[in-house]
Amino acid sequence: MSTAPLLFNPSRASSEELEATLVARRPLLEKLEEDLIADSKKRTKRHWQLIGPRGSGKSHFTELIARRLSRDHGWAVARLPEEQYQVGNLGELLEQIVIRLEQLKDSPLEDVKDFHALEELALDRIRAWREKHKKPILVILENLGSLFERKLRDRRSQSRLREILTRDPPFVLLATATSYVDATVQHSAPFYDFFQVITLEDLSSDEVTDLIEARAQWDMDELLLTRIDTVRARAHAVFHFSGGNPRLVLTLYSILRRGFTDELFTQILKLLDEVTPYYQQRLNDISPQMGRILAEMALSGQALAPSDIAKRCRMQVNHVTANIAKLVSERFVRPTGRPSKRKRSYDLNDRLFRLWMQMREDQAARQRLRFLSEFFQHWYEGHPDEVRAAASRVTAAFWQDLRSDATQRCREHIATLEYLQDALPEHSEFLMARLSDHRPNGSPEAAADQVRRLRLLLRSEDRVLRAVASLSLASDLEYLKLPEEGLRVLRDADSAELPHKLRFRVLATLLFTLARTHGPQKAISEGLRIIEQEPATRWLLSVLAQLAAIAHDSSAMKRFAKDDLEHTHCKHCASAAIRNLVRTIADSQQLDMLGWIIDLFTEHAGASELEIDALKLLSSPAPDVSTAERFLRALAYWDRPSDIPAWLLWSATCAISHTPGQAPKAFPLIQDLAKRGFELGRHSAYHLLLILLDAIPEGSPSFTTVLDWTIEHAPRNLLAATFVECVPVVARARTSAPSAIFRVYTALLKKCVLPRDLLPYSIAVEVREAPEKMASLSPEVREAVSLLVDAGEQEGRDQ
Amino acid sequence: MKPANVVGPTVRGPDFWGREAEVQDLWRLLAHGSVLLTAPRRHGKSSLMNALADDPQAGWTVLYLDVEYVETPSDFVTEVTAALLQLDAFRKLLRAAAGAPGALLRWVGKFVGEVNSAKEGLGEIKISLRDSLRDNTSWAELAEQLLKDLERFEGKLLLIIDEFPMMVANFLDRDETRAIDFLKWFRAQRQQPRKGHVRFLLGGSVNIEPRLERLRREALLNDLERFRLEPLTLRRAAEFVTEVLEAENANFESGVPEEIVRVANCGIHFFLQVLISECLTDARQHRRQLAASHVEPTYRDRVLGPSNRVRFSHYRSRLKEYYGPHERAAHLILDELATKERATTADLLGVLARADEPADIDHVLALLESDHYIASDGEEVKFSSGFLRDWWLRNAYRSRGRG
Repeated sequence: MSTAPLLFNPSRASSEELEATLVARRPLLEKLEEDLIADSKKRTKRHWQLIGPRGSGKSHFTELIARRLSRDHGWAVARLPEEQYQVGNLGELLEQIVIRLEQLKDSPLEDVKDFHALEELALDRIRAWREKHKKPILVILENLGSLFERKLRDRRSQSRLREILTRDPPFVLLATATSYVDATVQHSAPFYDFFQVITLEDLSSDEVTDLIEARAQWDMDELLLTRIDTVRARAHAVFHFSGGNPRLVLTLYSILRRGFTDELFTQILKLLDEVTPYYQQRLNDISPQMGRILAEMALSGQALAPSDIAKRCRMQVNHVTANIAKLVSERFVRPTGRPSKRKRSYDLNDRLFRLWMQMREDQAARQRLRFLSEFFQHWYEGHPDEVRAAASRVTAAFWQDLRSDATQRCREHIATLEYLQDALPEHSEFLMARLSDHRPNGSPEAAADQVRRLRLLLRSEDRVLRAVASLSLASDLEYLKLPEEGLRVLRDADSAELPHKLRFRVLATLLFTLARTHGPQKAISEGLRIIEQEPATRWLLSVLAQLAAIAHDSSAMKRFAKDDLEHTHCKHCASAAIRNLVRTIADSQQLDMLGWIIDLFTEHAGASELEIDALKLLSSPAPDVSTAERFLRALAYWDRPSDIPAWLLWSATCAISHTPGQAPKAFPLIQDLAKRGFELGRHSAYHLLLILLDAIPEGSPSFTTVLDWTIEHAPRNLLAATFVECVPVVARARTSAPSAIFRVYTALLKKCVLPRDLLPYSIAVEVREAPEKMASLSPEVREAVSLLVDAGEQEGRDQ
Repeated sequence: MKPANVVGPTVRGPDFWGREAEVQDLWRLLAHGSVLLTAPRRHGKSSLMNALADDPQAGWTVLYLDVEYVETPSDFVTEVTAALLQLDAFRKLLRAAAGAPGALLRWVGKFVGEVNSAKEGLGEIKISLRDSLRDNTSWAELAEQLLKDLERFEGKLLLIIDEFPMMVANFLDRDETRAIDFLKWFRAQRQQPRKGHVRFLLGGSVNIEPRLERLRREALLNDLERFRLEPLTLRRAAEFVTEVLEAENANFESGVPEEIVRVANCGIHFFLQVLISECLTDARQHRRQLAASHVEPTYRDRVLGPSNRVRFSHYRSRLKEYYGPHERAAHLILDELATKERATTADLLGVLARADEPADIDHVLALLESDHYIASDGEEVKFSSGFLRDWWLRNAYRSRGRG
């Protein structure tokens, strides 16, 4: 594995590596090589200035040209160190060239005290060396700006250096600079437009891809090379954040290499930490006024006109304009579209710099990290599957760390989820939800253990952590038949200071839990009370609309939904509210109510024509057609299952799997949900069990196929817990189910999903084979077993 | 060979293009006396002077010195003498005078002998001469002897003193009285009734005459013949651009050279080469052939745009730095010329009056003309180049003049 790219030091790299990882600059390099060789045979002697901001590849470029000239053309190269600590005047600069040219350890001129004499004698030695060796000499000087601004500040030194370089120069100078150096642009300065300038432009998006590929090739990074298409797709985000600066590209490349771990949040912070010296150096290159303007531009988060910047910085517009011109030439900012002829706006060139600046300058802790949203937004643009996968990894890590009592790390995972959610509003409905969906399921004992750990988190001083813990805790408590405590926990967790989306989730969970335990009307009353006390929470109206749908109160549903949309300005929120409502109506199988929502769905949810057609189909009166059949017909509108909208897929899965005789038709739908990255939670496990329990019609997937797939994709403890929780309900609802229940129980037992001693099933199996055993059972077990066995006998008689 | 696109540095040999007539004119003038060559920076003075040094006319020996860094008359004499000592003919001349009494021979004697002639580097000679000329007053006597001895020089000697005005400015900064003494002495030497073996070609971009005017010493350079370097004609400029593009192996469609000249609207090598350079960079970045239609956008976006704004910002800052009370008037005049292209003095007087700016318009126009901002065109004045006008309009217009 090679050196980390951020620490890439061209002078230590092999020529092969330098050549292999040179991207976009090759034509410039070859032109310079050609010009230097041509000039060495001509009277015109050009000297060169290579301009590019830090990280633009200047050292890579000069190192390569030095090696090519030395290796292929017999030149001598003297490379002066960037820091120039041993240089205080022109004489000492020339002395350093002598030392490098003659490859000496110490200066042969150390006894010369007079600076002017040192100049002359050093020059004599350089000329004598050139005469003796008959080699052209290239002197590479890094950071011309620093030389002229700190070492050779006086006019006499600069004039003399120009004189040396002019008519019969003993060497060719190749100097680098981060921008145009004052001493070369001031009209009266000796070096005014003296150098032939080569500018290293920022890389284009395509060139960023080329660089990543070249680097991966050189590093023989099998992981990246095997998924090069993903890497290419990600290059756009790398380009966006790096602004095309090669050093930053390589920094982001290191994230690509490491891949996305469950510590993405930490990774980004680490990245911003890594680039700190780089940005600090760049800020050292500019005046305090320019720095002030940059800070304002970074914090504003958008392109600004000079007049806006002037207002924010309390500066005169002409001062701002002058400084912006310099910032443009330093490539910190770039002009953007011109809304009107008189008003041009400017934006930061390098978005990572904006993030870095925001992190450092923004005082509010929450705001300080808002940059992460932007990062995630661009990083995951067009890759919803990866978002889900990333969210899954983060939530899995959360539960893992919770088990290890690593509270701080839990907090970080939650923060990562929050930023993912902020960045991807169109996916926000599942990102946080994933945390509870992904919660380890299983036995009541496991749930009790989880409750114990989650209760510890309620003592945290971190309000966000407390709220997230409360969400999961309430769910576990409800599972353990302790919903009242769950409701109390949620009420305690609520706070106006929570991030909006998290608070929404806390209150929505509170109301839905209340609806399940005390009925939807009670939940609606509670919701209205909250809104009355705190009108800012009127976004709960979208939840109340769903509750009204569950309560079959269509007029209340319409009123709440309309009120909600009137007050919602965020199109993502409006879209999510409508889609949730559609799904609630569909899930509750009141399909006739869907007709009312079609217009809202079209207007606010960006629905496609097919979705509208599906809604029309579902809502149209068709008394002879079952709900499951209606869903199946609606699904058939789409040629490819992968294009079916998620809400329809979920609702259809639920409706079809709950319909005896049709349930197996829900199997491919569940498979599709899994393919899309959705976790298979309790509901899916229940649906899978219903499919297994159902009579398998001809032509549907075989029992074994469904069973094997279920065991492979759903956690075993989840299946076991769902079996225990849901099968009695099914047994009671479907008197024809017992033989199927025994079949599923036996199959799951063979696959070691269920324990051998699971009551009452283990005993019921024995009693079916030997009915006389019934008499020896204890009364409570006998009661349970008889429910199963008697139903089975009844089934046999019916047949 | 065709000229390479050398943007900025002095050009020589085949890269020096289109100045044959100026070279001949200069030699003609030098036959009669010393010459002062003036033009703004990057307009090709040093290249022209180097052309004379690289290819002297028959019978001439030419020495080229860049003296901007020279700070005292003693150092100047040291520089000239050290350079002369590099010439065999000069050493021979001195050897012939060996044994004769005189301060000059005592000063340079160490370097005259044939045995040593090849050994010392130029630097070593300078150090030695400087060390033995610690007395700041003896330079005049030595220089006079030097020039007298040069009367016996085989053939004619041309001393090209590049950045002469800057050197004089250094002298004035350090010691005004001694600087004036030097100029007086130098004029006296030029006016000596000698055989005319030695000529000076003085060049420089800084206009030292306003400063001498302020000291009422403008007469000290009055005797010099002036040679003003003019831009190429637009037709010649198009030929030049064609040759440069060919030398650079550029892939360009026909009509591009003419378009470059039309857009730059001037015949100054440097401006043309800046535009050529930006066009080539743009074509390379877009990986496309350079087309005529690309030239103007490149000019607007790259040459006049932010990336070159700092490069030419001296056009504006110079007014602030050097024009003192005339700054606003100069700005107003340039603003007017930027929009109207050309104007009469009367028009400009009206502009100043409307802006309530009571300036001596003739003086301001003279300043602007001597700094090459504007050029007279009969009764009217205009920007000296289309490039400068475009730059002004884009980057300086109304930024100050309207108050």
